[in-house]
Amino acid sequence: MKNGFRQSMAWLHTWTGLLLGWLLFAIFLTGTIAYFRSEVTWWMKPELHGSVVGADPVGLALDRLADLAPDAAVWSITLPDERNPALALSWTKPGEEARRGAPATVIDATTGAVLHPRETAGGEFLYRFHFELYGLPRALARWIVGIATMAMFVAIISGVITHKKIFKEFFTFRPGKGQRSWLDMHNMTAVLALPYHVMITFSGLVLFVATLMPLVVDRPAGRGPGQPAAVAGAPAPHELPQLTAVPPLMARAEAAWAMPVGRIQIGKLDTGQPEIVLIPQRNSTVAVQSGSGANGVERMRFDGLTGALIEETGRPEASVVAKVDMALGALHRARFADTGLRWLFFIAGLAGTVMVGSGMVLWVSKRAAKHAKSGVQPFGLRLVDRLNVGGIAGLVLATAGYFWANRLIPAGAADRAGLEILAFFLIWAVAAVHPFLRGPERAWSEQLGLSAALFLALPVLNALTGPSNLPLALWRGDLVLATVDLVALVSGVACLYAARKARPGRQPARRPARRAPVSRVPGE
Amino acid sequence: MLPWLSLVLCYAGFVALALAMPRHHEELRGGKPGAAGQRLWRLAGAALLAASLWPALVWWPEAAIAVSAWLGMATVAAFALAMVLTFGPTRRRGLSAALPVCLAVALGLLAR
Repeated sequence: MKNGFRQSMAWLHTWTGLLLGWLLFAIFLTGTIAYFRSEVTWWMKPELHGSVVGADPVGLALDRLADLAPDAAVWSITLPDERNPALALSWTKPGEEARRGAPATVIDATTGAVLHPRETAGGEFLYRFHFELYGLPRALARWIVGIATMAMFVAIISGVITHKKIFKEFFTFRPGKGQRSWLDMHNMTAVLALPYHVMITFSGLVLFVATLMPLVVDRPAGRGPGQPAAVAGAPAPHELPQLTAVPPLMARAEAAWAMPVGRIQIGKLDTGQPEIVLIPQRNSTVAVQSGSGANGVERMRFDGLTGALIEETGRPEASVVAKVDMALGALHRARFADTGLRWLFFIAGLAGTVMVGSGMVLWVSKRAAKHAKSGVQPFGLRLVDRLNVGGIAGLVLATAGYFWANRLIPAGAADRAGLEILAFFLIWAVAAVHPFLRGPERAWSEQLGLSAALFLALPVLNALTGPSNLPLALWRGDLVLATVDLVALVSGVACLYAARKARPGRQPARRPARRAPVSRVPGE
Repeated sequence: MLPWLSLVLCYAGFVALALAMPRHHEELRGGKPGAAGQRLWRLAGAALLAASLWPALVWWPEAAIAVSAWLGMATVAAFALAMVLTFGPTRRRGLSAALPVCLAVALGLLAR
């Protein structure tokens, strides 16, 4: 049989896709939003939005640290950048272990007043969800997502073989033609972002390999400044040393790295021999170790009194295999990406999300057409048809609802972050049941319509529940806040368009031959 | 500025490649391309796409980053052309194909 191979590939593509499609859709959507997780977290802390970065954030931070923590051994300043406009301080007392991930003290970048942002799950929840899900043992969740990633890889390879026409009909999209349109959308989002899909899936797989099997990878020596030696007994109060001016050191580091300084650590304050360590905003190269944090791995260590360079640690030496491993991890996380590049990854990620979603709808639309004549739909078809609504539109709705929950749950509520996550899953659960009560057609248009309303009103909610708003943010140049609001508006318009297309009245009278909505760009 | 140049060159490359395909040639210019014309358009498309890599390599100091950015820009450019071919006016499609270029130039100037 001439087509035997292609048919078996089509079978593989169809069934791996169906089995893990909803999970892959959720991974793609939340993972895509995670490219902007700092930005989302900033949006979700309206208490910080009044802060405008002044002329000398470093000087202000040092003054405030001298007030707030005169007896500390280590000071740490995280400078505002294009992704996170917060000016954050943290410190450790002599003899204290530096705590990773300990909450920092955010100050107003103009007045220096300590700000008290609400507790929020923020963009971090969506980021974590895309590879660890939620509420499951971590190892189990990683295995599940790992298997889904493997299935994605199988689906990509078998898909390229199955959809043989994708390279011939490169730019072809025929809207308003039911199943044909879904196939076009599936093919186009697949082929136009194919390098991205292969990269993100393969690197995702490699990241899981690294967590499941301890690879021997050269890690950079020393993260941050030398830990203060543990002192027995109560630390003696010490005079604050007269520090050298920091800006010239920053200028030197920035010239060497061609990258702004993102974090300043001042260590050994209690020894009278302070050291100033500068850390770049992000990595400027692909093949370096990159965790899930935000800053780069290079360090420049200066004498805190004279400003003399003590040590410069750059990119660690690594074997080729380790370098490839690190490069794949960095590519997946876009750790090196400036804002423009991040947008390109985001767009390609959206294409992946639409590819998975349209593939799921295509499965239903193909089979519905086949059973149209008999008028009887098998159970499996009806089930998948309904599950699709909750899995696709339901997740978009839950995401919109998550942003609303962030602003509607009182800022002082106990376990606030947990409540936000609860709201997300409650909305998703209701959205999953809804199509079984209303039927898939109504459920599609109702869920998409509600998502559209929530997204379109999000900038209004932001204005009502925070000190800033879209016009003001644009005026002040707070592009982070403005971007989230604007993306919400675009998502709202896309959902509205999809909801109108999915309106039951617009479809042919006979149910099985329904035309599914033509475009559904998942929100945010 | 250079990434925008890269984007515009990518787009021009895809327009040329589309002109090498009978179906899209008909949409963009009307009529069918001859065998020689088809080869010429394909060559022009490949040359433009290759050229579009150069500004990216200059702009991003590391080749690996430049190439991933370039692939991303190729995706965006191809998607823009697909949108023009789908939703652009049926007549004067050649003219509407120039729209994304104007948009990119305007955004590039704005972002400078």
